[in-house]
Amino acid sequence: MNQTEVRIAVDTGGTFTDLVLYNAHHQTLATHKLLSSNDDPSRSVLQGIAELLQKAQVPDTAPHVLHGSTVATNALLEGKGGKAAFLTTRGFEDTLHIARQNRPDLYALSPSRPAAPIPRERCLGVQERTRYDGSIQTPLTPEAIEAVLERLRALRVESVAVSLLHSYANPAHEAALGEAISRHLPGVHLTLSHKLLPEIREYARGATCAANALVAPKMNAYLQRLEDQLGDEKLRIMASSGGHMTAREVRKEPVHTVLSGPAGGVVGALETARLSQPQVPPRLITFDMGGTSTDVSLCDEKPTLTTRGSLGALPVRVPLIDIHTVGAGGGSIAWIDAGGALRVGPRSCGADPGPACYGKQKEKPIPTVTDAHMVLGRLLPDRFLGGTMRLIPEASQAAIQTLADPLGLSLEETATGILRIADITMARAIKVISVARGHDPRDFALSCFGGAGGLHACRLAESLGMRRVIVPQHPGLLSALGMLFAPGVYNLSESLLLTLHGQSAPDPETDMAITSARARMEHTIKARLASEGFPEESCEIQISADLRYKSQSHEISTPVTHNTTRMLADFAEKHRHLYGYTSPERSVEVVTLRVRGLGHRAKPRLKRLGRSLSAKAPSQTVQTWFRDRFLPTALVQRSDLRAGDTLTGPAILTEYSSTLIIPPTWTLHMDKEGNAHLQHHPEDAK
Amino acid sequence: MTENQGLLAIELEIFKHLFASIAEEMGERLMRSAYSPNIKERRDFSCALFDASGEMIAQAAHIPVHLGSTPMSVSAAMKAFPAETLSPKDLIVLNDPYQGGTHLPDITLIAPCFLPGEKTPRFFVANRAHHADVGGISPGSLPLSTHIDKEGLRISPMRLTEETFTWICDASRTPEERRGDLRAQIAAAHLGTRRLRSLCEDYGPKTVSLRASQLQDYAERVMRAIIRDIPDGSYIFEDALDNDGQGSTEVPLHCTLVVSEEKATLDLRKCAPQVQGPLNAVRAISCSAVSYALRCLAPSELPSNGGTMRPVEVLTTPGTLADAVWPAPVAAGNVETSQRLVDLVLGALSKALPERIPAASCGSMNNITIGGTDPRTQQPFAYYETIAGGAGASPESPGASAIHTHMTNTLNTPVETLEHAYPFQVSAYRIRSGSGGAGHHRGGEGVERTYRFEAHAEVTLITERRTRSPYGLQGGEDGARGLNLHNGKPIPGKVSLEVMPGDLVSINTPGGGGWGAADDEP
Repeated sequence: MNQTEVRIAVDTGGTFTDLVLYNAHHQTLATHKLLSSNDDPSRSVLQGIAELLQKAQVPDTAPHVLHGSTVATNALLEGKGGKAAFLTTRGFEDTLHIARQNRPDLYALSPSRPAAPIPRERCLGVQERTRYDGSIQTPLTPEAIEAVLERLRALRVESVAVSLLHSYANPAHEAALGEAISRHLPGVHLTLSHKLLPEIREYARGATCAANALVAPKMNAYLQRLEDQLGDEKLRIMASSGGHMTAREVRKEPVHTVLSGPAGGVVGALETARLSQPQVPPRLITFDMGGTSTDVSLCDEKPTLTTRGSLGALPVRVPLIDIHTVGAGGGSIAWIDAGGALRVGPRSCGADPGPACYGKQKEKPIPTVTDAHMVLGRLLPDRFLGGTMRLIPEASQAAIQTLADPLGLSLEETATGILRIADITMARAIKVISVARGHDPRDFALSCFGGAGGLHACRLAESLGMRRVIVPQHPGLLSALGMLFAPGVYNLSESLLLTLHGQSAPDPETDMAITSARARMEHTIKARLASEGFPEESCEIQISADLRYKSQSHEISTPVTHNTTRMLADFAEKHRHLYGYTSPERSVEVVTLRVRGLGHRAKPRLKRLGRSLSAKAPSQTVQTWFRDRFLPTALVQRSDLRAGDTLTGPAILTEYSSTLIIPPTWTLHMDKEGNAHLQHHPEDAK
Repeated sequence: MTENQGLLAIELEIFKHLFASIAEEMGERLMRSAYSPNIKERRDFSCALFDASGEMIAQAAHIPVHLGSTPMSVSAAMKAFPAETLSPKDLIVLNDPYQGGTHLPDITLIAPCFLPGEKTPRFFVANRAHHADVGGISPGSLPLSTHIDKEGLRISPMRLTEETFTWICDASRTPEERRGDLRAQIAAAHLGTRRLRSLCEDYGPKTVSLRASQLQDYAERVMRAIIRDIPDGSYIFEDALDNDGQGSTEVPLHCTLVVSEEKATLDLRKCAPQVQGPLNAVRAISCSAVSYALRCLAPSELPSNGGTMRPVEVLTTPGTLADAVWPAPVAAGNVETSQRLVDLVLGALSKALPERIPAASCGSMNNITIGGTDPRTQQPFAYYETIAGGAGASPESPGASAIHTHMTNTLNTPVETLEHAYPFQVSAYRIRSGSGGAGHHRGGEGVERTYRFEAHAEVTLITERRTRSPYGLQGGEDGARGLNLHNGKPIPGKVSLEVMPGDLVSINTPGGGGWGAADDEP
């Protein structure tokens, strides 16, 4: 990939499609935003690209496109994928439907589980059986294959997932079935579990394969429409693990893209923090609050990956950035329950009809988190979306009043209560990804983006004892920006299930097995990245192993070096950190070996902000409620700030798609890269 | 001066989250650091916080059978060790069913939480985990016994010390696993007390205690409102256990529900006298079953605390199936009779609320324990699993299939990991088609899980609803009874057997009852 190229990153969201163009030759950025065409997102993607090329005055050459897509996510969440079938060992046809046999709501009078990704009538058993050690118990006969093919033909499926018992230990049967299907049912999308996810645990593996098979037909049709216009060579799709993949690879394994856009946001937060303070390794908790939900994620110099993730209730066990989502956002509805407690969410007004102040609610007003902000003077009616949409403060007041009356509180007290409850829900989400996993949030800065994040960031940080908040430049375009920075990625894994007897000196045979598996996977990945145009010197290989004490069932991901003794020491240290003890007397099992290849490209260099000439007078003062009273508050446009400018709270910083509240005891500093840094000074509180 | 009720409405919600997140974090820690698949994979544990008087403040939603019974563990610990005798370093451990426990595999650990400068604990935290083996006459410690002493090590409330720790672990067939699991319980308890102390630093001890008691009052208010909506009256429901595994069959179960305004009384005094087999439930389990059934009528986010049971009275007679006394064996009271007691209480409720209560669910946890020596390693092994069944159909919807209902919610052990760990295979694991009861809404289907043995082993099954079907309601048909097979031949619902290589044992779990008369075919 040469450095003079034009790269465009496109992130489709539920409301907007965001685009960022980077011209490496001129080192310039251009941005664009348009409404998403939800019936067919490719329309707004293609239209946005055309408009942005024109806007940036780039000659109409085919640019490299990096794309964050919601097609797989939505197909899976809404259960509206293609017509897929699931094949597994006979006797286990219901694996997807039995799932883990538990129920999500403990006290539901009528318990239920979300529907399995593939209906029972398309889950077929194959006569064959492989044992746990890879030996064959019941051979797969040509007759058994023919029987399955016949049923698949009758079902007229578009896509097939095959996940046979113990296929990670011996893929022979799966491979034979796969070959037969591609020969006799050409055009049917094929997902083989030993290729997508050669890992032990039949339900998690099967569900991941089923998810892949379900979304594949939609994703393929979608990518086809984009490729027709953009060319398949130049299109890459953001994967959930924080790198991008070729469109061709995504057609085979679309399940890698279920957190496409959110992964871009996390990478964007991390890379802008790195640019802003190159000498400080970034330690961030990202906080992306939207209308209906909030995503949080912890980055200790790099994104935290998980291989035990899920989307909704469905396990998706390919590597994902560990993003925790809670159903609290600007549209979350406030209400009073039967016991007289004030509650916020989980129901939401979303973007349509939206909060009362959008003026689109019918009948009686429904109070939301956004309305609470409105009542407290934290949202400016004429500054929303750059002034393109006027908010109605009276509607918010009327909505909040419906709660203030029964509570016997003032409007402001009620609104403050709503915000405190929303904050505690989000603080709890942050504790899940930090405290519960052995991290102290006070060691991290809160990186805030998304439409509603800036309204909550400082108070939320305070409640967790965090003293630094970063609001990157372009907070509304951060996901797209992150894609420009992200590397190309290719992940491989393999279940080894080897035991390392004696922790100080592992036996040479086991050591050898690890080394050869690792070399094999490394080779595959390097060849793959090379074929995608990443020269060897730009490639980074990360190797890790999921280790556990023998008979434990939760593994800890541990980096693999050439020194196995060192790896075991790292594992013990991590175990102590996470769980408070080690067991030197126990053997360690290497469950899964993971190799991740990253193909780096020169990172974009962004234009710096001009230096501040003199501190500007705030353009306007408004009355805003903090804690227990209204205070005169400076109202500043972010675009008016220059590098080095500072602001002391109380102040409000507005920009196109978000509003940042700077409470008293907080100060803001603009850096050269255009990021806003906020610092808490609790000692200033009187 | 009384606090402004409007502001209290806000504080309640905030503290509900604060307490619940501590209980949940304890659970996460326990699950992640435990050793045994039973805790880590199946998640058979729970964690809770208590106030100084031993009333529950919050419980992480894990296993309902622990819900109403853990408070009794805390009371027993407090009785054995009065507050002024406790020190911050103390940990109290117990599993004695007659002193705060339920059945022997469930070991409860309780830690007092002291604040600086205070002489008695301001809070307690407790966690309970199902240990895969605590000794006794059969591996897995869920034997078909006739005396509590045959079921394993009985731990009356005692301080956990180096010596007691070793004593407990050494009583197990798998002592090393016990050490790992108990250490995880200790770590979780310490985490809980640490978090409570830091909560008190942030908000002040008085405020934290006040909010805890206000949350209990709040849950009580919600529960009173729910009971108020049940028509006043007296409702009787009768059923019977299949058998006690030791020769008694059709063991009578009887419940009278009396609702009067905001108060409910559940009278279980007419249940059969305690039986020779291990189906006896101690009072803690009966309270748990009642508490669970009523809790299901409340909104799902209601905090689980001591307030919910204040308007509820549970009447039992010592020496009966619902209030067993020494030396009754109790291994299956917790896992089987508890399910049947829920059916009983819901049955009585269905007479008061016919348009709300669903038909009977599977009514069994379908327990299987397998033990022996693994020929591959010459090491002893003990495996325990519960198997889901069908849920009862409700007025709104058909019953869910292959789902754990009522008092348990443990996960299955993945077949692939099981086959690595033990010398047997699962040769089929599928939905048992046709087992749900017909009706306007069909009951959910049960499950078939078939094991194929590769080595000599001892298998114990403790299963219910093999002779009495899960009831349908309002004209819906009963769900299919469960069926256990050994090499294709029916075997009793409760049985211990020796199996040989090549043998098959198949458990076919009951379906749920149907709701409403089946619609006529057009």
